[in-house]
Amino acid sequence: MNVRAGVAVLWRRLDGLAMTALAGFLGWLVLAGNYWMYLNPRFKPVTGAAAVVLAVLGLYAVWRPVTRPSLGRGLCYLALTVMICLSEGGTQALSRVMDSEPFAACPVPFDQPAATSVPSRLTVGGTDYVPINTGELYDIAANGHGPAFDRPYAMRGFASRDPALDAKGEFVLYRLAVWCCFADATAVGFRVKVPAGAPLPAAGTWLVAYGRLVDAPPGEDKEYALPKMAFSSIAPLALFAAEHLETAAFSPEEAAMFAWHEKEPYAF
Amino acid sequence: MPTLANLDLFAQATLAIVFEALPFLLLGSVASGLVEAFVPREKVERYLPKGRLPATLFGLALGAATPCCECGVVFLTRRLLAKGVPPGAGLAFMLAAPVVNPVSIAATLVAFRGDPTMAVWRCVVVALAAGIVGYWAGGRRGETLIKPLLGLEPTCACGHDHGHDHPHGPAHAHPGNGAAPKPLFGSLAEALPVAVLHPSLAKRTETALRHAMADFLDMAKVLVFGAMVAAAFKAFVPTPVILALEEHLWLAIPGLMVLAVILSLCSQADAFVAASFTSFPEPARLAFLAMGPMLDLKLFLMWRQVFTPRLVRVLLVVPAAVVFAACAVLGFLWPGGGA
Repeated sequence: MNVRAGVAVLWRRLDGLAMTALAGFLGWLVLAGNYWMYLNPRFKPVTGAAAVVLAVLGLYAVWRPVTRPSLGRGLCYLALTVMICLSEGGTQALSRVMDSEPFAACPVPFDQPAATSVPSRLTVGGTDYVPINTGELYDIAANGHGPAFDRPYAMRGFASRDPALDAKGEFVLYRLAVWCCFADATAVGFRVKVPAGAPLPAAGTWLVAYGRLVDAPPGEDKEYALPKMAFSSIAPLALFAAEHLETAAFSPEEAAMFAWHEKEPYAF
Repeated sequence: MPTLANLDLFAQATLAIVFEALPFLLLGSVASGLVEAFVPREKVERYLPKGRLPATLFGLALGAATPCCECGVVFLTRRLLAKGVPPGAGLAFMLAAPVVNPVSIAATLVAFRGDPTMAVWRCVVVALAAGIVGYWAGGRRGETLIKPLLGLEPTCACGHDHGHDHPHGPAHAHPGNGAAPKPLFGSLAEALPVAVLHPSLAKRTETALRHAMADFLDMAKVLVFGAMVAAAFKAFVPTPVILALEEHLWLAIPGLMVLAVILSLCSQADAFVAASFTSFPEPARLAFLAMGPMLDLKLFLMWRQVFTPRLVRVLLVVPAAVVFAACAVLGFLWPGGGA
C-alpha cells in the first residue's frame, strides 16, 4: 500500500479515529488526569461511562466507517486537539517561552502536590478553628445568627483587593465554586477584616484566614462585585473578622470547591 | 501575560462545556438510534394522542418525567417526529424537558437555597413557551418541520458503509430495490424504516449503532463550535459589560436573556450561575434561567441542522417573546420590581 492509499484509508476512518482518541483522553482524565480542571469530580462515573461508549462507537467506526469524513468535522477535531494542547500546559509553555515567567492563575497540569487530609480542628494561638470552605460558610452566614454563625472558622482562598476595601482595612477572600463544569464556576467569598495592625495581603495570595463571622456594618450590607469576575457571590450581610492570616502552600486542585456540606466535617 | 491567561481560560472553558455535554449527547444519540431501530412507526401513531392540546400536554408530561439536558434532546426529537410522534408533543417535549424534570428543579431549589419561587416560575414560563410552540406545531405535519435528506447520502438499511467499494451481491440485494419508499428525513446515516425490512435483532442493533453514531457525528461538531463561542465570551468579554446591565430592569431582562443564549450553560447548572447574579432584579434572573435551556448557541446551530428554517424562526422568536413578556409582567408584580 503506498502512502497515498494509506492516507486515504486513514481519512475515511477519521471519524472513528477521532472518537477513539477522544474516548482515550476522557478515560485518561478520569483515571489519572486533571479532571478537576474541567468538571466537578463527582461526575467522573458519568464521564467514564461516556468514554467507554465513545470508545465502542469509535472502534466500530474505525472498523466500518459510518459516514464520509467532512471538512466541518475535520476542523472540529483540529479545534478540539488545539484546545486540549493549550489547556494541558500549552499556554503555560508559551508563556514560559515568551516572558520566562509562566502565569500562575491557571492550574499547573503536572507535578501537583497531593491533597492532604484536613484535621477536624486547626489550632492557632490556643483557639480551635473549624475548617470550612467559603461556600459552606456563605450558607451559614446567609442563614443569619445561630449557633453555627458564632463559631470560630478557618477558611482558605485567594485574596482580592480594591482601593475602597483597602481604606477600610478589608480584602476579599474567595474560591471558585464549580457546580458542574469550569464554565459555570462562580467566585464565592467574604469581605475579610484584617486583625488590627496587620498588613493587607497581596492580591492573588493564597491564604488561610482564621476568625469569626460578624454582621456587616450598617450601610455596608450591600452586594459586592468582585473585580474582573463576572460571576461572584460575596456575602452581603456578614464580614469575616480575621484573627489570624497565614499564607499557605497552593495546590492548584484546591483553587476550586467541588463539595459543600451542611454540617461537619465540612469540605474545607 | 493576561492574553495567554485568557487563552488558557478560553481553552479550559471550551473543553469543560464539551466534556460536560458529551455524555448527554451520546445518551441522546443512542436513544435516537434505538428509537429508529426498535420503535415501529405504526405503534407510535396508534398509541400517542393526536389532538393538538392533548399532544402538547403529553409532550410536557413526557418532559417532566425525563431528566435530560438540552443537548441530547434535539436529534431525539427529530427521530421521534420522523417516527410519527405528533409534532406538538415532540416540540413541547424538546423545549420543556431540560427544565421541568426533577433533576433540574432540584438543582434550581438548591441554588436558590430552598426558595421555591424561582424554580416554580422557571417551570411555569418554560412550560408556557413550550406549550405555545407545541400547540403551533400541532397544526402541522412532522414532515414539514424537519429538513429533508436532500439526496446528500445514499442510504439503505443494509448496515454497510455506503461509498465503500464492496459489491452488493445477490445475498445483499435491497428488498424491493427501486420500489422501496425513499426516506423522508434524516442525517448522514438515515435509513429506511427498519420495520419495512423485518431484520434480525443483530441487524437492528447494528442499525441502532450506526444511526447513533451518525447522529452523534452530526451534532458533535456543532457542540464544539458552540462551546468555543460561549467560552470566548467568558474569557474575553470584560466584566463591566455584564455588570452595566444590572441597573435597570428593562436592560437587565433582555441583557440576561442574551447572556443565557451566549453562555450556553447546561440546564442542570445554570441556576448556580443565576444565583450569583445577586445584584440583578429577580425577573431578570428568571429570564436567564428560562431562556438558556430553550435557546442557546449550541441549540441554534443544532436546530439549523435538523429543522426547517420556518420552525427555527419560531423556535427563536416564540420562547424569547414569552420569556421577555412573562418576566416583564413579573417585574411589575414582584415586590420592588424584584430588585
